[in-house]
Order: sequence, then C-alpha cells, then structure tokens
Amino acid sequence: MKINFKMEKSKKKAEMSSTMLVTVILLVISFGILILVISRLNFNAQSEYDTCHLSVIERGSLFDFFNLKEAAPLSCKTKKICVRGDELIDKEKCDEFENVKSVDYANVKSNDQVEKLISEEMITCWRMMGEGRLSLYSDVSADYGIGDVSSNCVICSRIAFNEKTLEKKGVDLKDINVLNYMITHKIPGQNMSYYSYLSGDSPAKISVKDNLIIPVKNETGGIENISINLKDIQIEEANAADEVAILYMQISTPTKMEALGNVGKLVGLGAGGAFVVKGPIGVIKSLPTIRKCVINPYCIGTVVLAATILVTAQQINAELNRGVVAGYCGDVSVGENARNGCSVVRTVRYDVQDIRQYCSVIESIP
Amino acid sequence: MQNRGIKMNKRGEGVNLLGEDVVKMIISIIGIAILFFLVYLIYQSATQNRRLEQAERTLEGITSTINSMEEVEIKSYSIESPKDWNIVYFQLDEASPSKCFGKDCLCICEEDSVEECNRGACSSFNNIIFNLGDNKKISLEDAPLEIIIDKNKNKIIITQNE
Repeated sequence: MKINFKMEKSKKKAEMSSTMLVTVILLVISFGILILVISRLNFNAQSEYDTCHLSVIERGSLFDFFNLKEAAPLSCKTKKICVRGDELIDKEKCDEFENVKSVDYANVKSNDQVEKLISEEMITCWRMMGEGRLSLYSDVSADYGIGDVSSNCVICSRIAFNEKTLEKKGVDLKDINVLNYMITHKIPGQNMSYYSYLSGDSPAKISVKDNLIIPVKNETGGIENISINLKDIQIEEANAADEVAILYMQISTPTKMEALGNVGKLVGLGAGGAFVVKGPIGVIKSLPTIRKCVINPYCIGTVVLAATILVTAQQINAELNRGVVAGYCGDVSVGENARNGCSVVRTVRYDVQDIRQYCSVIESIP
Repeated sequence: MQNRGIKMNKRGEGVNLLGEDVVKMIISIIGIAILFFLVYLIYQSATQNRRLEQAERTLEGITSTINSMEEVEIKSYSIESPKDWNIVYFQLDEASPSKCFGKDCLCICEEDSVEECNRGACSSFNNIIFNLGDNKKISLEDAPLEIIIDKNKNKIIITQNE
C-alpha cells in the first residue's frame, strides 16, 4: 500500500512538471506573437520619424537567426524636401517633385540655412536609424559562406533645389559647405556641434594612405590583395543644383569574416571608429581594379567602405562641399552574436548610378 | 501487476508510454508547430505588406510622371524598389486584375500573372497602349534602376535604361 501511494504521488509530480513546462513554453511563444501583432497596429497617429525609429528598434532587437529580422520590416518613408527661395508670392515648386504628394518646402534666404537643413537631415537620419549601433540586416547565406554580402540602404530624404528662386535670394549652391557648418555650429538645444555628435567622443580617426590594399577572395578561394592608388581615382562631380539624397547604408559581416576588419585597420579606424569627412556628391568612377572588386562578393563591402572613407578624406575633388560622409565601424549589434560592420550616413546625388555604387537593396518606402 | 505499456524506472515508478503522456506530448508538439506556422504567416504578411507599399508608391510615381508628360515626350524615372518584383502590362482585351477590369492595366507585382497582380499594385489607364518589350514585363531584379518612358500620344514605351 505504502509503495503504491509513493508511486502515485511521484507520478502526479512528474505529470505536473511536464504539464507546467509545456504550458510555460506555449505561453511565452503566444506572448511573443501577441507583441508582434500589436506592434503592427498603429493605434495613434505617429509621425513618420517615430514610426521609422520604432521599426528600427524592433528590428534591431530581433535575433539574427534565419532572417528573423525580416519579420519586422522597416516602416521608413523617404522624405521629400524642395528647397526654394523665400518668397511671399509666386512660391515655386521643384521640377523633380512635380505631381508628387507630400512634399515639404524649405524656404531659405541664405547659404547658412541650406547648410543647416542638410546637417539636420543627416543628424535626423542617423538618429532615426539607430546611430549605426544596431544590426538591421541579416544575410543568412553570407553567414554560412554562400552568397553575397550586400549593402542595404534606407533613403531618409531627397532634397531638390529650385535654382531660380534661390539665385534671386543670393543663395549660391556652389558655395555650400556642409562639413564646415557641422564643425562650427551646435545642434539646436544641445551643447555639442553636429560634427562632435556624429564623430562620437573623440575626433574622427582617419589615417590617409596613398595606396589602399584591399583583400579579395579569388576564384580558388584564396585571398589576394588588390592595390589601388588613390591618386588615380577620378570622381564625376555633380552639378550644384542636382537633387541630393541623404542615405543610410549598412554592411555587416559576421566576425569570422576578416574583410571589414582589415579595412578598418588599414584606414586607422580600429575597432569602434567613428568618422566624419567631406564627401564629394559625385560618384567614384570605377577603375579596373575597383570594378573587379565590386563584382566579387567578398570584396563589395570593403571597397564601398574604403572608397567612401579614403577617397573623400583625400579631398580629391573639393569643389562641391555639400557632400558629407559620417559613420561608425565596429560592433553593430548587441548580444552574443557580434557582427563587424559599418554604418554610414551620407549625401549622394539622387541618381540610380550613384546610388547603386553604395546600395544593392533599398528598404525605404519611396 | 501487469506491465503492458508501462516501463519501470530504477525507483520502480511507472511511465505510461502508450497512454496519456504520449497523447499530451503529441498535442504539445502539434500546438507548438501551429504557433510556429502562425509566426511564419505573420513574417510573410509583414514582408509582403512592406513590398506592396513600395510597389504602390512606385506605381504612383510612374503614373504621375506619365500624366504630367506632354503628348510627345521622353522622360526617365528612377525606381528604388521593390527589388525582384516586375512591372507588368495587361491589355484591355486580356484577362486582367480585378482592380482595373475592363481597362488597360499597369501593375507592379511579384509575378506576371493575374493572381499575383491581384495582390500587387495596379493602375488603370484609358486608351493608352503600353509596350514593355517582348516579355510584356520589366523585371526589377536589378533595382535600383532607371526606366525610360517614351510617350507618343496614346502609346507609351517603357524600357529599362541599361
């Protein structure tokens, strides 16, 4: 009798533990699904900035496991801004946004105001996308050594200029110098300059070399170094009144890939390097070596980053100074599955050829 | 004592392998599988919604551009997304998505079929004939890309700018 009673009691205990375990597991999974569903609903009218930022945080918090980040798509719409001279009547529009809905108009009277606008758009874009500290993309195939590492982008803003009305107000787009404005002006309401904010606590760490050596994977799977002489690189400059895009780009690789780490060391960035440099708006004309590198999936991340940082740091073509490149290279995720990568916010001419130099996928909503 | 279906452990306690415990385990596994399936459906829906919104915005842009063009004009248009979808044209007398039944139809959808384009973005046009090349579609596999819109009265040729 005693033995039977003991058996019954133990059996009941075992039943309770397994039932409870299953219940707990089911509850946790259900809760997770509920959170996902609720986050999809937009209860209040939120600004587009908040909507995008929330979606960035949501995605950045998800595990980097079997493209799970795709379950939280980015809700980021491209802002369209038409910069025109400040007139009381005869307010003109920008040809680029003819018949386009939801265009914001910036009425300006001076170069300073244009520089301020571009600076603020860059800061807003950088903040909205997580300041480069969140890994927003997962490339499962690249993680496991198959497929490409791609650069993913969000176009935060498109800025077009109504040259005619700007000229009337004495605004000369050729004299715009955004980097200088960022160094000499504080962010409204804060005690630091735009430059300090973007470059982190310490000044930008850029070491400029004439010869850049980029590791490239060849057909046999070995690593060979391609040498690029920066003095040979030519830049196709944009016209002063060309439409400009503020672009956020992120390339990340798992820590077992050395490509970006090598470039980081080469350019003196080391780990966790932030940078702000002057960047020409135009596209870098491909040299044969760069072209070879661009079509090599192992190399795309390194050449995009290296070309962006080093060429712009060289100030090879300093005529048009609207271009600024800011970024952060280092750990781009929180948690155990650390990834090495680079996040960059930059101005670029809004042109398919130029954008394709930096982006293989655009995730923003046009 | 009969031990059918009951395995005894070292302490002499019994585990019923054939009865209730197994049924509970099977039900739990089915439940978890259903939940994983729901997660997959949400994932699909979330990704699809974003791509659809991108398609709608892009099509809106193309339509606005066409409507603002002169009777005879050539313009270029930059397409950012959605990558890997297609611009598809359905003629007036063909089977077409329900959104533009009875009219010429320009769509951006995942595949060039009526069923897929019912889930995509479509815009109807009156008395306009589109020419998208021999395949009657333009793939956005290489997006971002540029298209050339060549308008000649009521005929519009859209080609990808290589």
